[in-house]
Amino acid sequence: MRTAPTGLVLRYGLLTLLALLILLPFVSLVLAALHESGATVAGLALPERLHWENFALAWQQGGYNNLMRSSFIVALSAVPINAVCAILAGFSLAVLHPWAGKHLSVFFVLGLTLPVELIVIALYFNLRNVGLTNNYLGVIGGVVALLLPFGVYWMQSHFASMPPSLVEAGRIDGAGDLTLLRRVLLPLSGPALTTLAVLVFMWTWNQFLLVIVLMQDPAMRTAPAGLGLFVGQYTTNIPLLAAATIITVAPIVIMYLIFQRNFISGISQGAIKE
Amino acid sequence: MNPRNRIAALAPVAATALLLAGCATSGSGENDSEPEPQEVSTEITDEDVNLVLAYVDDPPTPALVEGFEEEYPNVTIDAQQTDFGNYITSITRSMSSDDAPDLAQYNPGAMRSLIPAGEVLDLSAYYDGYGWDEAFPQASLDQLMSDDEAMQFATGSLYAAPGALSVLGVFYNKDILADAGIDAPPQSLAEFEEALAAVQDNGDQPMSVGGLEVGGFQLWNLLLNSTGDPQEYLDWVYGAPDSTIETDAAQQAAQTISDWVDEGYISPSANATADSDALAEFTAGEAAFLVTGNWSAAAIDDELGDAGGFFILPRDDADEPPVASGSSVAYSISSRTEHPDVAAAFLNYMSSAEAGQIAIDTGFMPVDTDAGAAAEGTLGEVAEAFAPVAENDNIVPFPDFAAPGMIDQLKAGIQGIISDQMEPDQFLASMQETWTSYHG
Amino acid sequence: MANPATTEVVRPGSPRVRTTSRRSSSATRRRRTKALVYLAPALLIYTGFVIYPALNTIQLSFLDWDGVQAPTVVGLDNYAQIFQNPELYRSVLNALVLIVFFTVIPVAVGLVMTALLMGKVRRGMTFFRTVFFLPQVLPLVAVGITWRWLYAETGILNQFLSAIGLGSITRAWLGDYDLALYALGFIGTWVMSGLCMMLFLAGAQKIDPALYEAAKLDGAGPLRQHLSVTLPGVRPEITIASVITTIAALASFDLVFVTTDGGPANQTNVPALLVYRLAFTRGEVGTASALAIALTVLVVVFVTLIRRITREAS
Repeated sequence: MRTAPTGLVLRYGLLTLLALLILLPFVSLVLAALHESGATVAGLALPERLHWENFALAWQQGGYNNLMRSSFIVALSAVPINAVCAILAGFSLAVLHPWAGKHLSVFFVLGLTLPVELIVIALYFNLRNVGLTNNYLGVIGGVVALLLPFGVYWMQSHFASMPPSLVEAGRIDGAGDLTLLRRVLLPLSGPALTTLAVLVFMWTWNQFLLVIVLMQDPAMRTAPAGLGLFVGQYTTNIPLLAAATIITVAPIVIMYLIFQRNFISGISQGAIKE
Repeated sequence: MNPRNRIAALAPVAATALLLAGCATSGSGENDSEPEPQEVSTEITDEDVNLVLAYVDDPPTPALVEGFEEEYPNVTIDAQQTDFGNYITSITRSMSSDDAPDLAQYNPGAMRSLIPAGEVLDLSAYYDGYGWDEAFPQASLDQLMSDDEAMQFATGSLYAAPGALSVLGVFYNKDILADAGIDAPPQSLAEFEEALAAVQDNGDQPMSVGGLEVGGFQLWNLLLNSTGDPQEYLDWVYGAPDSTIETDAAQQAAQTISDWVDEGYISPSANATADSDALAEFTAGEAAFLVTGNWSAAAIDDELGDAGGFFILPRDDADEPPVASGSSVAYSISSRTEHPDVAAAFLNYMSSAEAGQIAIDTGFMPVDTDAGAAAEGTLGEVAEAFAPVAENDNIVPFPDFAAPGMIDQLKAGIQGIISDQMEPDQFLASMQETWTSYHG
Repeated sequence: MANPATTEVVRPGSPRVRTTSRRSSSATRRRRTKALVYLAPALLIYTGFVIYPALNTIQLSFLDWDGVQAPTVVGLDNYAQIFQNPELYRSVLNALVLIVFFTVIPVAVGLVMTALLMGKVRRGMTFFRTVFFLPQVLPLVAVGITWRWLYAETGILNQFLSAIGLGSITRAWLGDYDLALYALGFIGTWVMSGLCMMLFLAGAQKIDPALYEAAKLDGAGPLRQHLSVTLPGVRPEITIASVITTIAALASFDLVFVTTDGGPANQTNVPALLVYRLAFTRGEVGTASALAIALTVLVVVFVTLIRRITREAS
């Protein structure tokens, strides 16, 4: 129509170029991971033979049995805890009008701007005092709390955007607060909850500073934290390091590809919802 | 009370040790919480005991643990490794927590907080009980002794025992040197520079330097050991009052690095090169020299075989015995342990001939310099070069020992010199500032 | 860290749900009190793990403490340190430079991506959108490791430069005294551009198509349409993108930790790295806390500034 063929070519050309720039590091990473373990890999080079065994080697040498278990323990605990707290709080703030509700909303939203650095020092010493360092509970609590401002805000906006008639109808049927939430509102909240879960999972998985500070036992660290330390030991062995990097990002990339829609709606609406 | 105290036969030993321990601590004076008199034994229980050991260095730690467990089958040591970069952080935190490990690899940075806080067991009683003055060379114990404020070292009480010694020197690739027409390692700084020039003229890369991490300042340290006054350096590192690093020799050592960058012996990319990258370059035969410690000897031996050589840069004055920086893989005991005697037995095991052999086999220097057959290949060369250093008690600590945060000044300073953005004087001044702000 | 959770302070939708008709005020009061029970779990965890430690950090910032021995109170000394110690204030300046790479350039690139992805042509657009956003979901540790290798002396960047005849400017980019910070910053650009794009696309979808029609009737080409319709239309999204990415720039830790560790010669040192080092390896918990607070203040100042600027612009 209005777009001239040259414009179209230019447009696709630019898009392809940008896509290449973004994908190049991934391509080089995969190629590097397939070289022989210990080989020197310079730039983009095709391996002579595909060394898939590097993944097994990196898994074993990097202690990924432990790292992955920790990552999943932390992420799979943080997601439901965060979700339950966020649902209850969001429901309360949006539907039940608690005392000082406005102030409490702002109080939670405040947390969105606090950098992890502000809390990590004191949190470490606080948790040490109660014996929760080197303990999954400490890390899980920290991550859940850091992501609660987003979770509460997300669920509150979600419940607030539901048609008021739903709540009215529920009330007329004599439903209590909890019944209202469970029978009426939650069944209609599937997409919003999936989005919340996916985002919390990602942010928990990628958390680094909190984990290296709160976890001293290397076996209890999460995959990215373990990878950060793996660098020091294996920088020379580029293929193994590349393989370890791929192992670390794989769960999150797979998740992204499956739940793309949720990632996108979460990021864009979460930030913008008005 | 503890079951192990039932071992009556040892009462006399324990009693003497107690007395001596009393002397050792009372000298320092102002300790407000005088530790409980401690009853020690040099024989351990035959009940099953589990100990936790936090460590960095593998080798030799797991091998030493294994050796000890063989000797004491009722003891199980759960050894937990942390990488060097995170060890100070993690050990300071874990030693002062309720689930502190029983044993921890000694680290001066961490001990500066842990010793004054009373988290590390004063080993005076065991020192006397076991007679460690005979069992370990004094130079290796100096680094592990401090006053109870951990401000000044090489004095006061002992807080760890060394399991294996490491030493800094220069590895070289004999093939590359031979190609450049050099058939013996340099015997002086001048000869070293000649060799670097010859290698460069021959089209090879003279040095591999891991400036991103510790490789850069270790080169400075090596040069300083050759030209500086060892006592001056020791005073500074151990925190003796009024010492300074702003000396002509230290200035000259930094200047030499700057010159070598200008000459192209050191690549500017050194600042992005991790220590392990530098080692990889060297073992791939891409550089003639690499300044690092014996901990890399095994890897170099594997990769370069007969081509791997090692020397310690001799002193300016060739009549003086060589000086080398070194440290030990040493182990401390937590004050919180329920099994101090068993833990001390592990420390004592370090002085044994078996432990010495393990040290040699894993590329370290044995604590007992008489122990063990000399290794072959690159490891053998390291042992040979180290012998005169050890005989003369000329092991000095690494410079980051001097104060907490010093390692950051050292790394950043040498990076500044390599990128030609910092003058040697500024480098030394920044270190002295850190030293003064800590030692007052 | 790149955590879009740290989004802008947006007032949540004014609740359209009205629950109570006129009833006795005591019943309402009871209900509103009961509502607090639902808030309790979130409040407890949030207060315990975020607010309490944050307040504690303020306390710690007035102490000289190594984390183990008894602390002494030193008043504002630790804050004075931030202004006097070049290592500390330079790290703050470096973080400010990172804003250019984490925020300014990505917003620009994001706008270009948005322009390219908008319009009637739909073929392949989902693919491009998916690819552009991908860096944003990865752990930054993994991103840093990958880029560290791309930037290496024998890495792809230098390989490429040599191939196009620029062999003379090749170097170990992350080890270069003058360029390391920019090289590091560019990684941020790579990560953040897709995030900005995603936000802008969402904003652009809300623009009334009639505006484009009107512009077209006025004879505006695609570029003019983008500048006169899309750009003003996504202004709120630009604010939000700027806020998120600025926080990521100022508080960045993971990337620096695995690539340069602050080197060469502190050229890429950032406050977050120093907070970590001071508190946990140098035993200066007080100074670390003061720096963490200064960092937070800086974040708040910037967030306020960005919101004010964009509000004035509209």
